[in-house]
Amino acid sequence: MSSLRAYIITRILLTIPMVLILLILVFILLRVMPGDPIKAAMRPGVPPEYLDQIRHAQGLDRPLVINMRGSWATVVEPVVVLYTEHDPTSPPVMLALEGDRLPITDRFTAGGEDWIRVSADEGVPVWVAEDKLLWLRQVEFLYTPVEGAVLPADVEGNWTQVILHRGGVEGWAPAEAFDVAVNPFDSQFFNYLWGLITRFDLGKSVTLRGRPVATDLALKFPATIELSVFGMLVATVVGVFSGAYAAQKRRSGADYGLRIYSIVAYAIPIFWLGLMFQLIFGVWLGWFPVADRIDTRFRPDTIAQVFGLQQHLTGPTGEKILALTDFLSRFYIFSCLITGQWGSLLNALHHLVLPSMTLGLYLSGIFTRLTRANMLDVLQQDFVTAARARGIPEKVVVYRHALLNAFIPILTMFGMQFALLLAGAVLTETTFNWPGMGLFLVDRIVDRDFPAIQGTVVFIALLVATVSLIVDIIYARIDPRVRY
Amino acid sequence: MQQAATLSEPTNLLARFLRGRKWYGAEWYMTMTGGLIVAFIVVLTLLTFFTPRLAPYDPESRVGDPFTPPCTTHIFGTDQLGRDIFSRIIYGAQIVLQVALLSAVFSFIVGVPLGLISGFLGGRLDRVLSLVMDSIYSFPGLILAIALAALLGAGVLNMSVAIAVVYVPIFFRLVRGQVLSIKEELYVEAARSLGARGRTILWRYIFPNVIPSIVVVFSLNIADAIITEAGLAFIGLGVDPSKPDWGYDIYRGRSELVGGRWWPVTFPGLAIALVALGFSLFGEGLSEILNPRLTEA
Repeated sequence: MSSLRAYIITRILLTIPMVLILLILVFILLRVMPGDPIKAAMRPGVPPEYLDQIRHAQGLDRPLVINMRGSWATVVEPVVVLYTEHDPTSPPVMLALEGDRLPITDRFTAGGEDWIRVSADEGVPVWVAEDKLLWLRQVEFLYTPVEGAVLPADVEGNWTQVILHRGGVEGWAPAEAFDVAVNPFDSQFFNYLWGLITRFDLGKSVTLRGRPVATDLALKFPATIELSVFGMLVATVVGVFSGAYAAQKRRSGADYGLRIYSIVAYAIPIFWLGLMFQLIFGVWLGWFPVADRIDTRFRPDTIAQVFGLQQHLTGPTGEKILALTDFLSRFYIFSCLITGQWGSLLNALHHLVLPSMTLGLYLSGIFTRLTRANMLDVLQQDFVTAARARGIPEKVVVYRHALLNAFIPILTMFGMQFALLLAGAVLTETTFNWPGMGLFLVDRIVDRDFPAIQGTVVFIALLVATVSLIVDIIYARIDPRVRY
Repeated sequence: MQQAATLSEPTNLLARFLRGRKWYGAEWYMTMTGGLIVAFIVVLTLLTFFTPRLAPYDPESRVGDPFTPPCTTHIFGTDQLGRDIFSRIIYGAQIVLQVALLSAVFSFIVGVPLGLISGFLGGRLDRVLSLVMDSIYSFPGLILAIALAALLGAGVLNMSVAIAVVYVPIFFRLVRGQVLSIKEELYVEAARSLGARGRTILWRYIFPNVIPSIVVVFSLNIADAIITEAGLAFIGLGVDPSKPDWGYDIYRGRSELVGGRWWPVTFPGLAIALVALGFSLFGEGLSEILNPRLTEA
């Protein structure tokens, strides 16, 4: 048992660097690449203030890995005027008063000059120049004017004190006006990592009005899992039995046929297979629906609605439980079974047939192959010969004695094939308009929403790592031969 | 049957490979695979070199009524812009094969040397490289390729790079594993004791023995890359929307499927499946010829 525990601990410790490497890789790919990801997601001609605001909200105004230029600036002079450029003749943007603590977004050091660019922080009142306020009104920023604010006596010009709720107003001032706090880890990478570990923050979408990616993924996750589970079911049933049959009838026509099938199944593009199923079973025969998870009129009530949980669950804990039941309610098959909404259940299953067949048949080729190879190994072992010698019918020998033993290595395939399953799910979801994570990813790609793409990819990496970890641990428990 | 091949004179290359080895029964399977492979390569070569002469129409201009079903003038019908689907499939082969070949070459160029060095030198470098490659390998390849392709933008080269990244770990792991086992062989030991330098051992003694498996994986990779390229194009991350591309043509044709117009989707998909199948069988056949012990116990 202690060896098993040691194995589990080693396995977990090995998972951490692997996930970290993938995270770094995704981060490098999506952040270091040339081009501005925010501009890419926006229409051309978007006001720079708006871009600044999004950049600030996304944390993209920080250095990539190590922040040596400082992260926060506290004003030490009575009044500091912030300019549009690092040049005292450029138009002023805002005023900061002594004691204001503002996030640093850029720094310019050249030829004895040292300028800092700061952003108006959320919730902290700043004085904004009149033409800047005009901008704010035009692009519908969230801001609140401060009533009865008094401008310091020695400042000229037309200023209004406002509280900005999303940042967006930024300006330059000489560095000597500030007391700069340097935090080397206040960088894009470490902030992302920290947010991910502590709050499971996968970043915010650019095009979906800054909505957290984790919120959207929680909505889409159940659909993908439902599709994957049923796809895996089809793949296992088809693959394992055909593989066992091929091994039993080795070198027969059926064996060669199944071997060719396993190659063909893998060579057929999964989206095309899905489209052919749509054409044959959806359009021509009209047996199955070709898109969506469920018809609108069959959309099931949530678990909370059916059991009337809203009245009983109040307060912060109650709301958390309600959120959890809402999440579970999105696993339609599961929640319909619990709540007994049979009409919705049938409708959901009806919608599930074609997508899960597509996904399952695509994967079944590999399962056939691996099962066949495993079975051939097992069928040559002594206990099989012994079972045959005892006069046990061949069918029982093959499907009870041998297949159960061949099944253990097949279990590891679940872990290995889960990555393939998710990849297949992306294309299947696109084909069947299935509202899961894959379709979400594709939609975000169409919008060129790179922070959301990053969040989705990181989530999938975490998911794959977790699943393979769990499968390996289960495998180690079942099969005593496996040890590191 | 098995004895016949051993006793009779080897009449062709394939039979010579078969001779003296314990094949799993039917030679007809091998011969059939071999025949298929040869036919496939001939067809593909013809297709790529004689594309303009083989295609009856210009793939990018309107040559008939939109959505003409398959008939004698347009054997695969026409698409929504009245372009001949058969011609588009013939021209589309070029892009697909370019991307697939280039990506396989790229991942070969990166993965093989890294695997050789990593396996041969061992130590910390080997551990770090293996960890990086294993992480990439464990991740869903298509999703990584999708993210990369979205980032790099359209173009044959960008697509190839996006797909190649996914397949680098496959070459790396294969080569590294082989190097680790070949390193312990007696003849390497002999060369080492005779004073051969590390570079010579790696290049003259180890690398040639890795080549057979690389060839097999290379061909299987091309098959995989063809499907991946089609998948990317289907999502809309294709090479160039104006150029004929099988995956992208399916993407455009899919909205017409509900109306029963099956030909814009069916034929490009068949083309993808056939070419991918061809390369898969090619790889399978090669692996049976080159590493007979690996394929069948």
